Amino acid sequence: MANQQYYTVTAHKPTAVVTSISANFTSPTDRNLLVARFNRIDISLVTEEGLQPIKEIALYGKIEIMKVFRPKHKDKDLLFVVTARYNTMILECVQTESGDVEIITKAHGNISDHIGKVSEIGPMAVIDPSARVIGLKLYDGLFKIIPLDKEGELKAYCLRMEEVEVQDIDFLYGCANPTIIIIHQDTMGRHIKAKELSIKDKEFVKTPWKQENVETEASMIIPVPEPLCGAIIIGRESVLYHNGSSFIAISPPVIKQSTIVCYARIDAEGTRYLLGDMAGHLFMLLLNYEKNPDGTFKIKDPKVDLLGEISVPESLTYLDNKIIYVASRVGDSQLIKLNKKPDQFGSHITVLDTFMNLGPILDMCVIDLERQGQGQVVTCSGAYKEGSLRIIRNGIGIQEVATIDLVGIKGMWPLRITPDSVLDDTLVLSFVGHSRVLAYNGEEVEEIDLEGFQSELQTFYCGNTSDNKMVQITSASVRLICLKSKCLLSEWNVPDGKSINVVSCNGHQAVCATGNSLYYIEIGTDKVVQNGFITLEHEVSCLDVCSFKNEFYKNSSLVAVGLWMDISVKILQLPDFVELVREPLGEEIIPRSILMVTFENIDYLLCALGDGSLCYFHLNPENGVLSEKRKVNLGTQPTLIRKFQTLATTSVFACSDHPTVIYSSNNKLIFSNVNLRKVNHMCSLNTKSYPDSLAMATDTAIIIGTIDEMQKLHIRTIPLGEAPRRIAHQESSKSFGIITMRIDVHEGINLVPARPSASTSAQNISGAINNRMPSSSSATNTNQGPLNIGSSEYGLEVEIHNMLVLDQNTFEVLHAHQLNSNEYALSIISAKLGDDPATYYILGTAVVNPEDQDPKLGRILIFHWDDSSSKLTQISEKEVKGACYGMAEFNGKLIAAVNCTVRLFEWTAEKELRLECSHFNNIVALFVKTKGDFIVSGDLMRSMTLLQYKTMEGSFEEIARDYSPKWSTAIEIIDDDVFLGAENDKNLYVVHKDSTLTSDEARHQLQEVGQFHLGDLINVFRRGSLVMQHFTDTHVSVQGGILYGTCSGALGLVTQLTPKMFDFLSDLEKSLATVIKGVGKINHQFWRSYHTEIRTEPSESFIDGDLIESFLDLSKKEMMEVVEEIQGAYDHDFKKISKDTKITLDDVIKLVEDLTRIH
Amino acid sequence: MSIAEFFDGLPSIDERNFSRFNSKRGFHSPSAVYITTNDQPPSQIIVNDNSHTLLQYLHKQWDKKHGCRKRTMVATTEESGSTSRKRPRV
Repeated sequence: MANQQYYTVTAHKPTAVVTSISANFTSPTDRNLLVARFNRIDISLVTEEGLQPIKEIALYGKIEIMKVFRPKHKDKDLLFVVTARYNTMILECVQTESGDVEIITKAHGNISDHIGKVSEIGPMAVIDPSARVIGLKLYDGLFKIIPLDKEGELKAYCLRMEEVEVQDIDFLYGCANPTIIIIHQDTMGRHIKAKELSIKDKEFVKTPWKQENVETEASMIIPVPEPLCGAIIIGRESVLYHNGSSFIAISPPVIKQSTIVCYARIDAEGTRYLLGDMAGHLFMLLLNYEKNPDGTFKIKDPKVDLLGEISVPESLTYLDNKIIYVASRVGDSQLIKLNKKPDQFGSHITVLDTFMNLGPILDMCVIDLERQGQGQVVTCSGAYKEGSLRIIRNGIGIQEVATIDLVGIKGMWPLRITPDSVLDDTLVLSFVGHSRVLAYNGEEVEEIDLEGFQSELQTFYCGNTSDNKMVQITSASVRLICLKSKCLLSEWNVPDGKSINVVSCNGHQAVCATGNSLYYIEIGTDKVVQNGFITLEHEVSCLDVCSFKNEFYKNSSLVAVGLWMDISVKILQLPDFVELVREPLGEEIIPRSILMVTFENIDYLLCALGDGSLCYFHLNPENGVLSEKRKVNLGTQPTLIRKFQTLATTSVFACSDHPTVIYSSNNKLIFSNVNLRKVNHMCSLNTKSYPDSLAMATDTAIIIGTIDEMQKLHIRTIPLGEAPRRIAHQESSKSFGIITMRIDVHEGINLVPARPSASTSAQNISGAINNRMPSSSSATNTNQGPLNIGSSEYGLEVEIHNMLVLDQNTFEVLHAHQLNSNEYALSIISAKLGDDPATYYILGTAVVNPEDQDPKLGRILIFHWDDSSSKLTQISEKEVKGACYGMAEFNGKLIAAVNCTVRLFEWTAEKELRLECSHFNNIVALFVKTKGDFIVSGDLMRSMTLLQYKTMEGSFEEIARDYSPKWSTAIEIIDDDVFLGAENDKNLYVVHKDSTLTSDEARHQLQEVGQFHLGDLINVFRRGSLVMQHFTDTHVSVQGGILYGTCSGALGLVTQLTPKMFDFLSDLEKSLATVIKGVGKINHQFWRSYHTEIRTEPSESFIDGDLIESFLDLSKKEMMEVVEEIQGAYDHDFKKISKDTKITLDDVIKLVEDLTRIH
Repeated sequence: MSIAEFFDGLPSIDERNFSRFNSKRGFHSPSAVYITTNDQPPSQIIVNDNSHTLLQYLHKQWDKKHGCRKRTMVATTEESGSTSRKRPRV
């Protein structure tokens, strides 16, 4: 296979927050919250209602640093951003005349140095309070300065800094020259030092003050603004205020439990601060002072108090009026409110809102529980107490709240029969030959007789009209019924005793069809009158009446009609049924349901066909003209489409064998499938007990449920309270096996869990549950020997690993098997071994001894989970000489990566693992994947190796390896000789075993055939797809799609492209990269170029799906520009041609829309 | 109580902010993606000095020895404004 070309796209955008800040960014008076997630900056506005999203800015680079500063004599803040590849920019937001915002790049450049050791603590940037200079600490021993108050070029230069190990750095307030303060470490301990900078001489000129030997774990500087000046130094156990001449220190017991990682200054004078620690505690810090008569200040003892618990914070941002944004990298971010009065648990915090974060995704599995041909992803997300499982599925979830068993429903409508009620209280049901009314009384349902209601006939429509009246349309007549007097007010009967078979009604207008006759009925306040009639050439198959307001608020009413026989759609204007448009559908299937709907101020006509497909058009309500026809396949059976409202937005429900919700987001129609099997009818329902709900009729029942937020991916969270590491699904026992890690704390001789979590609250617990540590004299020196603790270890945190068994449907923790306190669980799989009929959970562990460089010992444990008796039995245990990092089932045997070896174990009749053969050529083998007789192993430093198992010899043969060094983080097999890898430098790469090469040496090399910079660290690859196959069209296949999960919480997809598609998409990509101007003037090609510390090369054989999809965010004019910029000439099928290009804008839009549906 | 004291001083920039907060009706829709095809006005370029630190140090030493004069001259030129441009190169 010579052509290996791929498309990679983000299916779920990264959600882990890098940092958050408040600023006056969009205007001098706007208070904005800026949140950086991976490569995006979300700008929102603080309003009366809360945080209002303004814009999302995507950069061509991972954001490492984001800061705001206020230039001198300006009333608005500017944004300073540095990416992971040291692209630096200063951004300004300006409002355009149309009220939109424009982001102006004020300054840009790359500040990477060719030499220098990258600081281990990560890049840091600090901005002088008077905005004269920006200081950057990127490399050890160097401090880079970007001068700000210069015209023309901004010349960055480096200052030598003799302090090598710098913990934190910031600028001090109230200094004539820019002065930094640093915490640095040497062999003696940690010290603080103020260093004054001369902009003119480009060097540190003096040290105004310093303090040696502050706390040994001092880690954070908080510069205090004027009038106090000086700085607060936060340590592990103490808080120190120092102003150069005097200092004051306290050691509040509340902060000792964990490490403070972030702060927020709340008031301008710098007396109030919030501190957040790694355990998710929020503290207040109050620095009070009195003014002495001589103008100096008398500082009181700083006060630190616990306010309550929040998500483990990355940064804290005070918005206004006691409301704080808690940005989290390892859990969900939050919007919290501080209350002066503590609640019953002593907390001063109310969580107002949470913002979903999947990061870091450590592992995941793809399962298809509902057997709909669509995968759900279950991720191990988050760290520490924020650990959780997330179940991600494409589509919208419906939470069932009630069901009523009923067969044969032909239609359903909500109704208000109580006079002057605003809530629905009844549900009208229609059956063949009769109709019924169900009344809701709380959660109870009873059938009632409604006077004036015709229950002897099938109902085609029923609904309220104005002032306490209702209209019912049966097969014989249109009836207006007064709900106060409970009598029939007016009735229109079909002439000649014919019977109605298709109806549409909007409350004040009804259109009824009998065969090919079409009647227009006006529904007045107390009368129904026929007001129009037409005979069409064919029988009507579906109808919709809809009134539109034009720009002069004049109503115009249109009727959309679908016809049998000629398979066309007509748009007629009321009252006279003037034919505006006749549109042949060009299909062979009859239209079965038609609907006019307005999404985000765009009018659409949707038409569902008998084969489950849906055609849709843009509709011009003025003249009925239909344009931009599109088609999608929703199901396989005749589909009924109905409008419904949730939270003031209109959506459309497509009832079929694959129920789908259609809505609009950023002016694009989104088709989201629903987690129900088959729905025949639906209506919205808003009763007292079932507010904002939907009623859906299946073949046998009515389901009442509430609908999730309208978003493409539906995510459910199972909080664990501890960090999940690995996950395996076991189909036979309908369970998940999960490895978790929790933190226990030494309390005297006991280890006590730091907090309740999944492993402490399991239904059954086994393993090393006895936390009581024997005293040193009785300690036996076994390999999993108990840990001896002295008094110095009191309060020490210990990682405790567990294997949990969870029910696959309820996610209840059924069992927790605890490992010894020095044993780490590293890998878990579910597999069948040998001829043994049972399916086992296989757990790989390592015994961790702090003195060893590599673990010397580990175990492979084999468990059987019996779901009928809920019992976990350990079947076997095999000791191995190292850490078992990864495992895979291999033709009934077990492959395990143990330290530097890949080992094959056989499952004997005695139910024991027996070592069969090993492969040794690795630094540390971390991952193994298998296909047929082949095994691929991923190495810590040495990329991938392909092994073949020789059945006859019972040994491994190394077939090929990738000789260029790569620190692999995940690997996957694409096909027999093509392999996908992700590495520590955040690149994706594809290697190929080329069997056609002549020399043995060349064949033994895996050739690099594809490379791409993703910018994000991939922890896991899994085969599978998030979408149902039927949504996808012909151009792009998702067969063999590979999903990945990243450190920043993104889910992505890698899929193969045909050479034809690749050629076209790479031309489109190039064109987009020229037309779309990257914020910060970063080149797209630079962003996606393969990059490591030693080499940077253009990306190869990969298409950036994120850039391709941004095509749909452009205006029509801009899209046209992109299409015109496409280099090659193509025909309508995207085949390269030599002559003039035939490709149209419509072809490209259709293609890109199809591409958005593969994930 | 320090907590009470802490709360009493929490600032309010605009009392109306969050006054009608309702998480149910909260803004959960994704914000519009910023994308521009407009040519951006020219921006200041941040240039990085990629010369060796030792070389930079020597340059600095040289400047200190010989360049003081130059620098003072530059300083005076800035002060004297337009006439400076006519000064011949040193």
